[in-house]
Amino acid sequence: MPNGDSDSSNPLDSPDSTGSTGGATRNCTTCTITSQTAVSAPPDRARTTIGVGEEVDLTCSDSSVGWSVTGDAVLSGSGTSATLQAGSTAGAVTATATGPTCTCSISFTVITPSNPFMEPKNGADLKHHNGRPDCGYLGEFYLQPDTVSFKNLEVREKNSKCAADGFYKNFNNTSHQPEGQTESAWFTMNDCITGKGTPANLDDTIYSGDPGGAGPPFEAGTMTFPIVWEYRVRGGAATALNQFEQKHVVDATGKCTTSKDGASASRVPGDPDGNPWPD
Amino acid sequence: MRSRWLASAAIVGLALAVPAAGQTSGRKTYLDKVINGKHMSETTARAAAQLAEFEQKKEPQCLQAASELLETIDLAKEKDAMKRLTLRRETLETWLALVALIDRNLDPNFNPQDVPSTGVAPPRVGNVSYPPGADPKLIADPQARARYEAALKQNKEKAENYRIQTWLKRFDESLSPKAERFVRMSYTTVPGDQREVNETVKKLIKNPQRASTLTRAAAPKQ
Repeated sequence: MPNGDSDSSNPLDSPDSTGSTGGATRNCTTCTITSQTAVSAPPDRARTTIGVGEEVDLTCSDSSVGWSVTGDAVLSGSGTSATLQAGSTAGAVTATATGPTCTCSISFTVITPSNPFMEPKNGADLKHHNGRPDCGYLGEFYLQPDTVSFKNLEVREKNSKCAADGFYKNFNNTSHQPEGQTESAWFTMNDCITGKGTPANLDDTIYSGDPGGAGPPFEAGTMTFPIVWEYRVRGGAATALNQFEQKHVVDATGKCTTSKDGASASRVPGDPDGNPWPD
Repeated sequence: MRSRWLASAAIVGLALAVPAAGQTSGRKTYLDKVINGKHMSETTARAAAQLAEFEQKKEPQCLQAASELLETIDLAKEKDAMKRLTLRRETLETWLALVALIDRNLDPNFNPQDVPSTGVAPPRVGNVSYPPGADPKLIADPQARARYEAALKQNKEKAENYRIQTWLKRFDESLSPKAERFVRMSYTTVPGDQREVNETVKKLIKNPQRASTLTRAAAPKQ
């Protein structure tokens, strides 16, 4: 489906140059550029709103054109086809094809990820030890919105230290990653899922831990990690996403609730063991 | 045509030594020579430098950068016929070096479902478990600490390898057709062209399926 803009301002497009036969000029009053996103998810592949880093295949109706681009994007290719890859910043990007008789262009709106979205991994156990006030889960991480693909991004989690009190007081100031490590490795992304966003290829190990001690009753307590994720495009500079919290709460009955960016899971001491990862 | 081609290479001062097909010169393979040797073309030299950087750092984005450089090459714009032949051969060699590096580094047993973890939970000692990612020095038990340190190292390596393999797999799918397209669009069915493609493939491509695809791209159509 053509979705490009055409422009007949090229002098060779004038009426005098049309209709010539056998010469160097050809009939051409307009040319068009059609676009198709490189990935099939989200399903609308003719969309002109794309994510940072997203690739779009372009085809010009004119033959043997030269391509150029304005805005933060990389464009490669020659002849009638080219591939545009959005850069790391939001804004407008325009690809222009200049052929022997026509010039035409197509514009895209590039958007950055809004917020991360997390949820417990479908089908995985919740982490728990029977008789203890501990809980956790394997989390999945998504970049939203789900209207574009962020498959070409990479994400990582920054290190941080928790504030902990009550039951968790012995964990106060414990780091989320080993000391001296400023962030996790970079993780790749996968195909966008409608309703969720673009998932990262990772399991987020989210767990309260257990400082030990007798109970019930247990001392109520809270442990909170400030969490910042970053993304990058094509190995470039890291951009921080909005900060959110990873929080663990225990009440006097030993009910443990672990939450991270809205995703939450609870266990009471009497619940059976659960081991999504080994002890 | 072959002798004319060799003469032209000498004229333009091509510094890249060409060993006989399938042979290596000294300890360097032909692939090493393509990615570390001299090029007449500044563009293929820059693309080759990206490939050399990939070999050194295993940074997959270098492969894409090399591909984008190679895609900017327009043989028709080189008006000097001898230089155009040299540019074509250098571009062919660099494209083939790129796909050879993908083949060399792509793990056929890579399982994309086996995703890495953000962190590792320290071993439980008694009824004490630190939260995932806690510093190893907090683990008092030396054996448990050693196990945890090993698990952290393993997880880091898995994450790095997963990242590299994911990009290699994607680039194999997206860049290989571009290499084939270059062969198809830049070489004719005349024997000299066929010979250049076949010999370069033989020197650079170890993967039989890849070699077959590339030589077929240049072969006369039935």
